[in-house]
Amino acid sequence: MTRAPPPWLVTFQRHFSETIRTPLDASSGTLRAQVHRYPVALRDATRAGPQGGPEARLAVYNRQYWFRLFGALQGEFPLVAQLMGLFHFNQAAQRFLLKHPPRGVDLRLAAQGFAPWLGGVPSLEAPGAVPREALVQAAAIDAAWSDVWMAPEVPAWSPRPEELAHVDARRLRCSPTVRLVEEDWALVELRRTLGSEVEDRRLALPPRHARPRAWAVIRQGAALGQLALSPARASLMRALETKTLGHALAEVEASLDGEDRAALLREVSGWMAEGRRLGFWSGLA
Amino acid sequence: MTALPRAALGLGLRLPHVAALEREWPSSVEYVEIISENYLSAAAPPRQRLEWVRQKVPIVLHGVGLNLLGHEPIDEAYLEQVARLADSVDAPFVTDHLSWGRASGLSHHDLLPVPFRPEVVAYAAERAAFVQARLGRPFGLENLSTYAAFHESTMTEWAFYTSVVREAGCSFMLDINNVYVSSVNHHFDPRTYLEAIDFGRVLQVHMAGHEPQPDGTIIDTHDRPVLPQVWHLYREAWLRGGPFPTLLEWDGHIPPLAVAVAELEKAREARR
Repeated sequence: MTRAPPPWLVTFQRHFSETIRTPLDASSGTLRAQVHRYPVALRDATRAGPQGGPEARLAVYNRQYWFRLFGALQGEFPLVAQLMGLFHFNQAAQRFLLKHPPRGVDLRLAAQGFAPWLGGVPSLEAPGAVPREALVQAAAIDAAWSDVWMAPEVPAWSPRPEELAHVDARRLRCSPTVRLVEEDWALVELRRTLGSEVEDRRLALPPRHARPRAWAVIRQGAALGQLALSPARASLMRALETKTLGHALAEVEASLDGEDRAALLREVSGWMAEGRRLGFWSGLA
Repeated sequence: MTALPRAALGLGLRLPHVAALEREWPSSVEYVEIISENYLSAAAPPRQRLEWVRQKVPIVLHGVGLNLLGHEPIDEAYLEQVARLADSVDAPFVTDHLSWGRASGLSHHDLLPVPFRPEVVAYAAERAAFVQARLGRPFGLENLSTYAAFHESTMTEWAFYTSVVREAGCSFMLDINNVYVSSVNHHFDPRTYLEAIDFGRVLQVHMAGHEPQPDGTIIDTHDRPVLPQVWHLYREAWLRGGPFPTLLEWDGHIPPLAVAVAELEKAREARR
């Protein structure tokens, strides 16, 4: 291909891009187009139609741009969206997308980075009594669901006898089809109840647990499952992400006492066997 | 390459329908169309689903990310991925839109219009011919639903569309609902649009629902049944240039599979 675009087309597309990315204004209680912010050159270049002036026509694209992206983020973060309510979620999504506008062809990737952004944002508007900490945990759970679902198929680690002989001194490679999440509220159970379409209704935050709970979110084939992990098992799983099996076991054993420590020593073999069966690891690092 | 029967009926493959399709494949659904971008990642479940569907019926590819009218170069890495996907499912053809969606490194995830001018025809035709050659299989361009028109246009939409397809040597992916939507939004006779189409080059026709707005504009929403006036236009197209493969798109408020299939079957009635 040798032909360059007509220069006016480049300018036209830059103005159009600026127009449709103009943020929607929430101050009236609904999200409204701010047509006065559209570039004058594009407003002048657009014909009035039978149903409205140039600004009204461009506003269709402006709203469409935002609501398609809001829909994509709602689809990836349904738990956060329904805990916040869609009006407030969309405003948070707009703030994120203004800082991180999409660049790739895959619409799902527009949501990439939303969970860490939510964790770092200084203030979030969510009506009612949903603490910011709960929203951050919900985002991590939604992200785990999505990451596991979109992971490539990776064969589970099936150790050879010679690998088992030296396994204590090796690090295990975590499978992308498994993610660990922690919660202070019963958010994983709540996430499980959500269907494929995000509904415009606010979910109530479940009561707070007496102590944090941990889960493994697992994909096997095309099925997603969740496995509750005891505190000792969760600590071991976390340690195995960065340490050899021997070091991880020693570290976790030293950090526990009472029943948690006893559980570790009593059940570690069973946990490791079940982890292999469920595909927690894809091999030795 | 798999051939598609000329009068075939197809359905856009959407996740909420997969379980029902697995239980029993409706005989009316003679092929499916997938959104190419949903199958380009390494994610395993979508790929596994395609392998299963491919055993049942032919699969055609419909893209939304080509950016044919954009000022940036065609993304050849993306095009390579689409070509590999088409090869993997032995797609009879690949389609995308006569639109742009990227500017200055940003993706807008929309199908955006341009002023209709001869210099854009030449620019678009060269790019479409390149795409078709790279894909190594028939490539169809879809007409848009549009909500804005521009003073700089010197051609009608249908003259622009047919000129690009003719100069590129590619095919039409004619969306009848889009013709209708644009005809209302820009006050033209949709039959004039159909008169300009060379139906011998139509790879496929799309049908979908749209949403009328309080101000009279209509928006291409794909979230409801096809409206009767669009079925009437479909019948006119069929009488003028049928047979052609016909596919129903339903992307929002997706109903149970049986409802979508019943809607698709209305195409048979409209052809009589």
